[in-house]
Amino acid sequence: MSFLPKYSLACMALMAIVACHYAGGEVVPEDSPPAIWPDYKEVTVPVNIAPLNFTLEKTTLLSDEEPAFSRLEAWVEGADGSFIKGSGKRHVRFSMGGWARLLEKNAGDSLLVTLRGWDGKQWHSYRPFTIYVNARPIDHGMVFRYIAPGYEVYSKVDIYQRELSSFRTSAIYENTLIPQTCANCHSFKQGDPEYFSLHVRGEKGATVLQKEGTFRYLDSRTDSTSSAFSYPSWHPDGRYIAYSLNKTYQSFHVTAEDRVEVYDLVSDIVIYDTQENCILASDLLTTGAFETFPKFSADGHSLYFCLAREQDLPTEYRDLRYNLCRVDFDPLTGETGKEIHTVIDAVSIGKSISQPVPSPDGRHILFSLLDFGTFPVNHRASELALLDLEDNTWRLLDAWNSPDVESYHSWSSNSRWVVFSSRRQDGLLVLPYIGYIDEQGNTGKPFLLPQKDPEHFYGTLTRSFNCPELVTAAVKLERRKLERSANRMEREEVRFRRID
Amino acid sequence: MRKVCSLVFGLGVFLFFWLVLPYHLRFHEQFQFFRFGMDYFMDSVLHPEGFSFYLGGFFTQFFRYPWAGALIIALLLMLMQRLVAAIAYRAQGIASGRWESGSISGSNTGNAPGRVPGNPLWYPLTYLPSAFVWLLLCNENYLISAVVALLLALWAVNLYQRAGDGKSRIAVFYVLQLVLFFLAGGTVLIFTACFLYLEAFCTGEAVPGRTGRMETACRGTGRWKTYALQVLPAVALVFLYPMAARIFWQYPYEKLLGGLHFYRYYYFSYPLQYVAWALAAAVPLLCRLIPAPKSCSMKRRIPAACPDSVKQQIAAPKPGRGSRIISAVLCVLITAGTVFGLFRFAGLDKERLFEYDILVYEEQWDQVLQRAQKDTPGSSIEMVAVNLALWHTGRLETELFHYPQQGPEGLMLPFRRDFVTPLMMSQVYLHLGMVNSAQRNAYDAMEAIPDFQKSARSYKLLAQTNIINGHYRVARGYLEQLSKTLFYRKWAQEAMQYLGNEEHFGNEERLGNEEHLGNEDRLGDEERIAAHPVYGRIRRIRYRDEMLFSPQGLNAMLDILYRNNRENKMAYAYMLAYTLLAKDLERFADYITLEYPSGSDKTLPVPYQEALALYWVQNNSSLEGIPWNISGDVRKRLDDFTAMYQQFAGGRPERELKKDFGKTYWYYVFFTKI
Repeated sequence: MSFLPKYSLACMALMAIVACHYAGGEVVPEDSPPAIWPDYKEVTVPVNIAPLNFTLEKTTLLSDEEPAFSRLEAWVEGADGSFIKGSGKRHVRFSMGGWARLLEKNAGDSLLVTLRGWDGKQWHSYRPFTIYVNARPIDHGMVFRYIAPGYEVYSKVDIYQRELSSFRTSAIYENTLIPQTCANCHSFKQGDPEYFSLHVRGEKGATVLQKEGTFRYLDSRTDSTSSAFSYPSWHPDGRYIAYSLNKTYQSFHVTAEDRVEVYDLVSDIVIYDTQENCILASDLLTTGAFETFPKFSADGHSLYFCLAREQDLPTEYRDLRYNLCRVDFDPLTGETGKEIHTVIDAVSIGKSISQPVPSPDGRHILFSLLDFGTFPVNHRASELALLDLEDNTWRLLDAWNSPDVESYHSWSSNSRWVVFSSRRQDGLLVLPYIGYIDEQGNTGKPFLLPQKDPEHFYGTLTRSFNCPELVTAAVKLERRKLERSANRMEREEVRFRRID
Repeated sequence: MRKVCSLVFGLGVFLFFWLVLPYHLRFHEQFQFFRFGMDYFMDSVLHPEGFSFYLGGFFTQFFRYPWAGALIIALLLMLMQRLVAAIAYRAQGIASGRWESGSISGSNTGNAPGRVPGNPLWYPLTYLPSAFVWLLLCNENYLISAVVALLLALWAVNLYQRAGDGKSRIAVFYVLQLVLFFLAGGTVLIFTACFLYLEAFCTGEAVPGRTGRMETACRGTGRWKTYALQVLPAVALVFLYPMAARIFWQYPYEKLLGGLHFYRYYYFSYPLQYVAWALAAAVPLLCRLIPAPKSCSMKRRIPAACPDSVKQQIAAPKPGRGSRIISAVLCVLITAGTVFGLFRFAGLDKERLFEYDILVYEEQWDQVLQRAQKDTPGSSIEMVAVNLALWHTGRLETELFHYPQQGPEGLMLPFRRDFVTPLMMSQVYLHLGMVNSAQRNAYDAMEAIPDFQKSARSYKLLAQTNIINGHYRVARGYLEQLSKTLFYRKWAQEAMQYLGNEEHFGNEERLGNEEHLGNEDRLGDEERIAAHPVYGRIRRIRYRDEMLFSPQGLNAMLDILYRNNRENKMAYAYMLAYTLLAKDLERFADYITLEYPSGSDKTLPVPYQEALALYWVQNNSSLEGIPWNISGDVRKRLDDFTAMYQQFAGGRPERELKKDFGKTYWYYVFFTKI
């Protein structure tokens, strides 16, 4: 007998044994839905999301009678009757192709997931749960910074991108490439990677500006500005970028609740004209008060930002509160208006607003609301809130908030999905959650970014997903040009002009 | 004889690292975090040089016990020497076997006709690379993975030499070159250099092989055209591999070739290590080039079992007197050079610093003080260790000035962005009950490790601080990683018991309406933690009121810490010590009343009496009316000090007063610059 038939017979025999092993045994119905992790029960997902692989939470907390399972199986059935099966020893894995097809067929509808676990003698079958599939797709990917949740010292700091329809992750920039550098504030024009700004910090650092195929390495420090560029916001037309200029400091809490307090001793906002290579500074936005987190409106005619009056810091850190403000912007001249309008007076209600982000469709502004301060990721009390620009009302997004931090957020290009940062998992690591939001601002239950093996991935993670930004296509950084420019210290100086 | 030499060399290495630099080895161990398991393995090896890094980490974990670390280093360096010798032997054209007093034993006999056999003259040179690496290892930042990579390169050369003839040997080289680059990085340069000259020297004549059959050692490569076509491309490839690697990994070109994990400071180069590479490549070449002495002759005995065709009695040089003298001189020179280098580079100052650090970590307080008495502490960080030991031995209040204090920095060092100082300070903060500061320093010390590695010691401290703070999920993460180590596993598994039952991963439905941060408290074993001698005590004495850490107001922070919990006597003692060291007598007099109110009969430690007496006489003409209980002895000594100071004021009072008053607070105030 040749080798191949022998091999095939052996395989079949093995499969038969495995099947028999699991085929027998009664099925014990459990009267509750399964305690899966990540919690994907009743979540709303985009049609093009990667498979929501999950595991069963360790159950010994609940009762000693709860068994541990040696195998998990899940059937996911669409409203159209099609289904796929996922299984695994520790976690349920779905095939990429099968999952994608199932979601496509059931876009706009829901999926019913039935999970069972094998305890060695019998199956335990749980009450099915639902996953809602929204027909509106999410963007191609998510760009984020991998950084340890440290204090004053950074080690490995990398900018990564993750394709959302798969588990493919790749490094855009790793700081091993140019030693003794850090990278931050990656930003894109409405998710378009053709318009990309990134700060590289350190002695060889500068601002990377990639726009429509060109690469520039900008030295944004001038004699007339207090610091280099910080928080960016691209104008929808792609010509201007609003940057804040921040002198940021940290202090550290002594009790267990919070760890770090970040504040600016100086912060201003300027407009950078990419065409003229010139910083445009207005007296209105470069005062002794704290102006920060600029964001252009969807139509480009307004600039939103956070504003706080000057405080004696760090002594008065608990009194530092920011309002949400707006100033007009003229895209033809690059000039801002002469009057600041307060959009939300958070100070009057004893709150502070941070990181406002208008939706691309111009309907909403998503922002972080905290009790005080400016850096929401360090405040457990930080929550997400939504301003409806149609009627100027705002509310907390209870479905997205948790007892721990919710902060940095990014809209998808179709304004239906938001990725936001949360520390709800363990209070330390910042993880990305994705939530659905409709035209009226109604939200679906958010879900943790899916991973191939979520328990292992998140269980061994030592760095946070910092500043997640949704992008419409893969990001290509001109790494060789960056390396050359940095190592040769070839930085393009920017000009400065007052516009008042 | 040669084996004995190797053993003696190895013994020297072992004793040196075990007895002279044991804390250098401990230093290595605590700034790496080798873990068993597929994750760490895959994370490590799926990078250029990853295998060297992995193996280096594997060895380094044993440095927790200096004798084991010393033994490992000795074995590695001995292996290096033996490999270099083996390569040199083969480069001579001798297939294998020992060279014993003019005869070759074993099955390999004789050389091809006309070949110049080897000579023992060069044997001491084979110690050069190992000896140099021994010197390099005196630098605590030169990593074991560099030694592993060097060994892999030498081993590759040896394998290549055994690869048979002509094209198969060339093919083996090119395969090994690619593999070696991935496993060991830039040490592939050594391999390539050896390849270039070994192929150049290869003659193509038949020589007896291991079995006695005639083999063609180097067929076809004697011709330069073949050499150019088959050998020279290796040079181009060795520079192309890093370029190809950069497509997949983001490292600078020069780091891929020069070493990613060989020196702890990733962003600095360490050029001295390339001397070791050059030696490893050059020694076999030197041995090949050094001619045998002409006056020598040697008879070779050929075993009877060998075929007639190889039974050729060649007039081979015997190690004559001249060779022996030169060989001996080489031995002495290399030994002397090594010893000189060890004296020069041993870094005993750093060894002392590392010793303090480890003794503090292991809470061996008496030994800290013994060390301080043996050699005067030279730096603030050493004084931090001494003062911490003084507290733990109950002598801080009485013997603070028996040691050369240098100001408040010797008590509590300001934050420095390095990976040593914050680690020491994290211990101080933890003992004080400043849990968040302990955690911050431990974390930042780890982040400051310049080759991006993690630290098992930091992980342990982070687990402890998170348990104390009730952040059990975070603590569990650290403990799970520590469970994958050999030497921290047991501790981690014991510590996990304090975490209580398994927890939910933030499943709010399960937790019902308890959407407050107290959820985590339900998940720890609170009773056990409260009863723990360290966790429970620190929980009781830590800060209760929220505020921000103030590096400029450390004594105020200690004051608040103490007032938050009067059980925290260490905070009180440190607060007083801080003001004394800062020469802030006003504040000292204010704080002292918290435990020693005016009019109290409680006996003040002598340094406190000295300080209060000095404080009083600065504002009063005498000690009359001083509200604290100052002993007669202190009063008299103050008078004596004053008198002597005035006597020698025009000259060098510091010197005159040191003998009788060098351990008083007064001496510190007047003569210590801070």
